[in-house]
Amino acid sequence: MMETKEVEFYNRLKLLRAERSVSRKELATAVGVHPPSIGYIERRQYNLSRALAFRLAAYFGLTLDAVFSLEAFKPLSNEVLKDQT
Amino acid sequence: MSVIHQDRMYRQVNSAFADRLQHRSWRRLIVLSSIFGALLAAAAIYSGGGRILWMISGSLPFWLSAYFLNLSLRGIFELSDERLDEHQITVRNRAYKTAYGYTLIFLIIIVTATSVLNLDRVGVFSISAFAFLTSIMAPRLITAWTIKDSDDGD
Repeated sequence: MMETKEVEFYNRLKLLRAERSVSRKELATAVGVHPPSIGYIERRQYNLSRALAFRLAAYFGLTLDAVFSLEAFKPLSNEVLKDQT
Repeated sequence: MSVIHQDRMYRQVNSAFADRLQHRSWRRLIVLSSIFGALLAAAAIYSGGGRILWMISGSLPFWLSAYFLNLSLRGIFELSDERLDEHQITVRNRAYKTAYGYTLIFLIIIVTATSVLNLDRVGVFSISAFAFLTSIMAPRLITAWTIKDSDDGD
């Protein structure tokens, strides 16, 4: 029988919130969850549903893969510098 | 549970006072108080010879702890699904699943101990009361003890 293992998502929520000056409470209210749950998602202590992932990405006006990833995100400065070179 | 009661509880579990109970040290203190409360209730039943007044007064500390436990868990075991988010529902369901196993083992120990100790009717009743109170609270106790702090920082 195939073993089902919980997949862990990496995310850029904290970075996006900081960049756009959105508080945890504001984001939670916008996507319909309790503020502590945003903290659990940011710290990867809870694997959110696809529906919530889409709502979060839509809130920031980004695609899903810009906010969530199966692999750790590279530092943003690396990507900025890569674009400049 | 009525909608009015649910509304009132929702406000209570999201109040500033409930916020202060969200830290692990507070939650663990409440868990210990609940277990102590259940022991106290069992002792009161035993020493009161099973009289109803002793049962009620002896279990008051337990129910008081249960109230604070509910606040510290933001009411995830009492509120309806519509008032909880998906993370809270996941935590609650996981707790029921975990507590089921522990409760089963705990009840087997209690039943074995009761039969070995050869207790009288009141003794069996007080131990049963302790087992009952801790069993119904097991998911809440496990969650309050194990859940990570929500980290209120922005």
